[in-house]
Amino acid sequence: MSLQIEPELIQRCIKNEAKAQKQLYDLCKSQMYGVCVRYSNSSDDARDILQEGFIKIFSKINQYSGKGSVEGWMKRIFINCALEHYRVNKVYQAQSDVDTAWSVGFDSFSLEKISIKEILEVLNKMAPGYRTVLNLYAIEGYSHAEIADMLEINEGTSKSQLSRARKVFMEEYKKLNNNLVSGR
Amino acid sequence: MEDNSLDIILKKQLQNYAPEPPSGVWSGIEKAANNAAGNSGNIFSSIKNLAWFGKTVAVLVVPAAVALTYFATKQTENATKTEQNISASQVKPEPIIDIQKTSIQTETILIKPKVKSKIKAAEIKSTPINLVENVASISTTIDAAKIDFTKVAIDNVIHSAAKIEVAPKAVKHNSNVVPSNNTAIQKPVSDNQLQDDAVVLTNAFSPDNDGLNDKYIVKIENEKLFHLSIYNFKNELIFETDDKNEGWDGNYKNGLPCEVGMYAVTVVYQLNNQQEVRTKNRGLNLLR
Repeated sequence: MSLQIEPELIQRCIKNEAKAQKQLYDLCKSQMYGVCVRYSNSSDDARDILQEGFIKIFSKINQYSGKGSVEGWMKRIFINCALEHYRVNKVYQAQSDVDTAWSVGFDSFSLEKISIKEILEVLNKMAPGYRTVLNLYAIEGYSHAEIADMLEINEGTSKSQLSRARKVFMEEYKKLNNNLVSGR
Repeated sequence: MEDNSLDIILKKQLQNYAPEPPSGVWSGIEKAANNAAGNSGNIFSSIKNLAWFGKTVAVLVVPAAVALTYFATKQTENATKTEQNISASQVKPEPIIDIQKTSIQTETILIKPKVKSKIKAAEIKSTPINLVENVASISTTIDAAKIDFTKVAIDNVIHSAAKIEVAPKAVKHNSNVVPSNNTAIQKPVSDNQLQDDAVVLTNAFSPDNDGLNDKYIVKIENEKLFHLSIYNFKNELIFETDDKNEGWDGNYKNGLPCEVGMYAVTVVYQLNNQQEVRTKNRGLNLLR
């Protein structure tokens, strides 16, 4: 899974070598785009975040301390970019709470067969706040303390946001399936 | 809901997710990077990387270089300024997309019933009056009645874009016209209600061979066209037929039984007395 990034390549990027920058971009673009897609509302947003993130990486690569993996450091920059991107949208978070539970007939749906495409579709529909917490905890594997630190919230909020995020995910997933069947 | 199962599934599916990004991204990054390099970044980073003796040389060279670049930039100031502006505007992120936009899309409704209404005749109550004495008043009341009818017509058009037939005969011999809220108007009938009489779709069946509701059969009579299709929640076609008596036995095409859960039924049909082909949808609960 992990990318093979040579320290020499990073050194060349620090020297602002255009070739090295392109090399680093080509090496990481897919993986990082995957991160962007997970944290965004749409593929257009993901594209913007990818671009912003790489610009930030090239301008700040001399600040990379050498501790920890380059990949992790880069990922963190993309996540921060996504957070900045949606900070404006925080107002909307409250609105998506009103989504209520769906009809009983659909409780039998299991997650076993959910595809990547469906997961992304659901994630993209979720409010940025919920999506971010779910991403950070479930996929990136951060602890609640770390998430609280990143999002400037307290640990309890992180925990409650996560459990609500899971519910919202299930509701959105059911809604996705329900859309087809709702004949009224 | 088990909390961890969702997390595990998400991690498993998305941890290594690495799709190909759109092609135009690099050019935007490149422009921004060049822009940054064209400014101070290059000079400082090159100082860092000079050899040990080079540092002393650099101390002498730097003021000269600064002076040179100062004059050089002054000359080309206008040119670079516009260039920077252009690239800056290209790099700028596009305005954030409103999330409400995406949430609206989820609420697409499958059926949009066309509403039709028809006013057959207006029933107007009348009481006999002395014609000789009230000639003037009769004509005015009839005018009033006519106005009332147009009102009714407009209301209906606004609500349901209906086709309205007004029978002017009804007004002919009447006087003492009762206001329009007393006239009997046939209520608009939606397409769905019309269809309910002709086609009956039940919403559940149990293909467990107990003799009760083992097949899903659509009740329809006097049809000249009939097509039944059944989809699962992933929008995959599970079953289709043109024979109204065939019915679905709750199995896949390969004969394996389908899972318990919700399915979508779509019936496309045309009755003998209908001009157009109609569609009817319904959710179906498969029980065992």
